[in-house]
Amino acid sequence: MGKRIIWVFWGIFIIVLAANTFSGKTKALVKTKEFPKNEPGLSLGVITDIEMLNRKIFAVENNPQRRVLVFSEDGQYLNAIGREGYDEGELKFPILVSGWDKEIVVHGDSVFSFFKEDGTYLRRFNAFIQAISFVYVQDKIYMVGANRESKNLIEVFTRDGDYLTGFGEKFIKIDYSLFPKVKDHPWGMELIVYHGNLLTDGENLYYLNSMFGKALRYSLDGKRLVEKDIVSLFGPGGREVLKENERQYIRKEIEPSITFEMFADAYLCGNKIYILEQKQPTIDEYASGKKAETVIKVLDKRNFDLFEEWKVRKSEDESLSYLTIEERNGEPIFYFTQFIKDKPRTIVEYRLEK
Amino acid sequence: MSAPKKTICSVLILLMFSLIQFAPGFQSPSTAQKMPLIPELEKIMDAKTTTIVLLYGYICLGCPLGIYIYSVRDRQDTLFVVPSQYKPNEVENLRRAFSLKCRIVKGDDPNIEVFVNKLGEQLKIDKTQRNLILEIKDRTIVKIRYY
Repeated sequence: MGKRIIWVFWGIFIIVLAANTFSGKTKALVKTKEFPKNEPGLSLGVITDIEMLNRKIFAVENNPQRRVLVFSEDGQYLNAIGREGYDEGELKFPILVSGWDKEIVVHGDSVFSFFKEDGTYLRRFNAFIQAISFVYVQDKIYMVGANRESKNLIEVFTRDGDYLTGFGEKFIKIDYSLFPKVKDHPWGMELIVYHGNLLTDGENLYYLNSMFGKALRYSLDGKRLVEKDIVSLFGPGGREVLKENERQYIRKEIEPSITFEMFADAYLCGNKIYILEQKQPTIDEYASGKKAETVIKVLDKRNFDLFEEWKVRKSEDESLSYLTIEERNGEPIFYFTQFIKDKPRTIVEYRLEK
Repeated sequence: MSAPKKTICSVLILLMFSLIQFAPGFQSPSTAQKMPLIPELEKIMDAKTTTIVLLYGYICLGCPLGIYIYSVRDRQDTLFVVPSQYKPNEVENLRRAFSLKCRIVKGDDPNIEVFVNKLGEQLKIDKTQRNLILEIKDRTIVKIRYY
């Protein structure tokens, strides 16, 4: 009788262990759609950012045309916002996009241009600060900018361009005497060292730094709520990136050359932050034949704790750069910008494998 | 180790602008001829003004123009003139972003824009490059640069 109970116990233990092993860790994303396809006269150029708003996808095309392309969630091309130019409603060098309520804001060369979803121009203002990342929320622009003259990590403007406030301490101290080439540059090294993503859920701001692995959560009025080191989320690769970036940009043991990042992009949807990571094998793993893989890290937005990691099942030649996410029936649907050498660029939809 | 990411292309594109300053032959040409200032500019400059920066072209902060503006942030003998279309908050944004200590004046008089355009045509530069730096001596322009 006693032995039978022990065997039953071990049986349950093995089943639970197997369920955990094969459910959480083996979740994967698979491609379910690719667009635009057979759209006359439409081919995607260089896409530098992508955003989801009101079930539409907004993709910033920076080259050869300067505009924002709008697609429905099922991949139908709807319209373009802006065109190349210097005048109001035109875009000279669009890089970033953010949407809130029914407005889309496009940023490039320190200018914020506001449009309706259908492309109607609304207003613009020049902040004279190049944004590294920004969000438009509650009628305000919150930006992490490349501005040496400011002590704040985040600057806040009204939608009409009035400067409201700044908050958050810059956590990277640059010794500019080590960098004579950028001594007189208004950006200095800021554009590089503060590279990352500023995200919002309408109540808080979340900033994830991809160069030095720091995550911060603030209330919209600037109160710091959480600060966390997220380097360990990226394992030995993360520690190696941190070490390399400190050598290049903090201690300048070597001339800054190649920029390394812990992750490629991040997006907030629901209660989670999704991080797109291009995971490279370590030297030992590489020697044993392991290849690079793309994963999505799922974080708890409240404290940046890691929930899960999902593999993105894609072909080796396919490169995914930016992501946006929509939650439908509780399931996240991912849209990535895709690049395959010698093939037209596309946006690809991925879903969790059933 | 994570390899360099395609996703930093935006940063690299922007960095190209910052690096372009080091490219040979990118320095703006200058003219040595002396020419008088227009009364509308004379009116807004003061006794200590030695340089007038007319920001009537496209402003790219990562380009040599941004570097120039940053380099004169502590100078009080420089006068910035911006087009009348600038909103007051944009003037303040310009001042704050660069910590400019000099005066920034909106060129509300249409003759200033006429003067800028005339100068631009003489220099054969398009509208986007009409960020003109006038060096002044005895109320006369002694040197012109543009970005």
